[in-house]
Amino acid sequence: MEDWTDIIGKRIKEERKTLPPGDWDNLEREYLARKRSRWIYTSIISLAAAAIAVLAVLLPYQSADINIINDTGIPDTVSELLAQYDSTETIIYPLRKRNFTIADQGTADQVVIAEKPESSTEGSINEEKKDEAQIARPVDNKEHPYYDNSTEEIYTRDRKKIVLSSRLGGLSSRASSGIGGINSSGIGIPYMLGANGGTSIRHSIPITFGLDIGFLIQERFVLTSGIEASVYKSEFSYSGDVGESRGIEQTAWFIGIPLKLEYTVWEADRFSSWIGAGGKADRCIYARLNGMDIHDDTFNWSVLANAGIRYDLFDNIGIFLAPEVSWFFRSENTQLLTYRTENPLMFTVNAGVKFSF
Amino acid sequence: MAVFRNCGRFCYRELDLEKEIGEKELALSCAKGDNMARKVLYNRYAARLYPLCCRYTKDSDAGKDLLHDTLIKAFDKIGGFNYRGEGSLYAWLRKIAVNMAIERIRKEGRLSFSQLNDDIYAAEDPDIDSVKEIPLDELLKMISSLPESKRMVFNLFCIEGFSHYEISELLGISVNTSTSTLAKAKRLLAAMINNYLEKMK
Repeated sequence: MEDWTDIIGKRIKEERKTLPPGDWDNLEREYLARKRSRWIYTSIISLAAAAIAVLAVLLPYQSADINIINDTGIPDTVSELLAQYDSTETIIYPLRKRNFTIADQGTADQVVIAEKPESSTEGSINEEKKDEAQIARPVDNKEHPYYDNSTEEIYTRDRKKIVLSSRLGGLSSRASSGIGGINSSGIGIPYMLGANGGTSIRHSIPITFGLDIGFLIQERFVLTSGIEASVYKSEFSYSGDVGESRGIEQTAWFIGIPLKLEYTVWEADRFSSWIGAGGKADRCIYARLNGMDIHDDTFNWSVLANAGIRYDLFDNIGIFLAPEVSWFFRSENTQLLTYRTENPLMFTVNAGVKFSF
Repeated sequence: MAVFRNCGRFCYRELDLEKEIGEKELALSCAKGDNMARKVLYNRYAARLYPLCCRYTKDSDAGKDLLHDTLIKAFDKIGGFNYRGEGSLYAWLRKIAVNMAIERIRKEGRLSFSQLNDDIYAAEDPDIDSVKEIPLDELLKMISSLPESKRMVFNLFCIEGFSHYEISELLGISVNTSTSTLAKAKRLLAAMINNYLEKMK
């Protein structure tokens, strides 16, 4: 049997309230703002986690030193030698001598491993052979990066463990031509209503801003990641019903996280150069076409290879130029037409500043 | 609302989402991140969810905030929505709104089921035909003037259709507390309605 509360319930359930105009726009803005901040927050956390993971890998290498000789009385590592003699500069090692002792040659910053006097040589022939075997090791290690062939000096290279870089990149090729690319005509253009006549797209040169952090994971190998923002601008033009030409603009911002492994190929004085390869994941955080927001949650993946040259202005600060080639894997789910959806192979020139620690 | 859908590299088709799309497809499109689908969902359900949100809040502004929070949460979680026939999407949205309302009220410390100082009203049940004639705004005013816990249980049971067991789970109270709170809410509301009807005579 129907209760009086059932009547109230039914009447209230059927109630509809009209929301004020513009409420959807407010909700959309709020939703996107929250989504963006969440994405940025997640990216930062992921980056921090990646940095910690890389540091965890890196830490064992920080204490690694070069073994010189393992005989009794002679320190095992360069750091032990330096600790004993408070030296920071050079250790001269007379490799062709058979028996050694350690002596200070007068200068506070130079440690010399000098020849032992003949009279002090003791032990059997077997022991001498053993010594020979031991002293032969540094000679065999001439290929070691810490070993300088020409001067027969072993020294510590001051290679920085962490590199921070900020960069600005733009494309230097295919800026104004290309079949089905920069100027495309006759294709269907999304979001465009009433485009009865010919259509064309003109893409501007994309610009990229990036902040990277690199960790020296092995001698000459640097693992680099970071965050980068890219802006893609395009102009869509088409003919309307009565033949008049119309044009609308699209701006799309992408945030990406690259991951690269770089190898230092050459170093001389203040110059150094490297080559590298890796990948990048990015997604659109903002896109607007003719005042209308376009939402594209698709993750975009690309592989890249680069080469770069750096000039050190100071001990910790250098400038660099790094051309980069990347291949963009186009997703079928993407709603956006940008430079790279039509030109998967892109050539970018990055320039910026690097800080080493 | 006409939109263009990407169905290939340079192939786009026009689809009238507002008319054509069913609940299941709508949920799927929202889960894929289609903003047009989100707008369609808003256009379909916001007008129904808004009064619901207002019933659990102090005013219409707070109701709008709750509606926005509900829809934002729905957009984020719609990937986990299970379609169980026509109407299941609204039921799912309604449940999100109710849960968020309860969460808010709890955070604000407004929900108390203390039995102390509870007056017991011995009002008679109002006449059904008379209740039908009371303007909706007046009824809503009366309900909104109920104490928070009573209003909550009344809304959940009489309007949303939750069982006492579900209410006890939602509010973290016993089934008995839910039953007694509803009884008190009904008496209180009956007294208000009778009073109103007396005045109107």
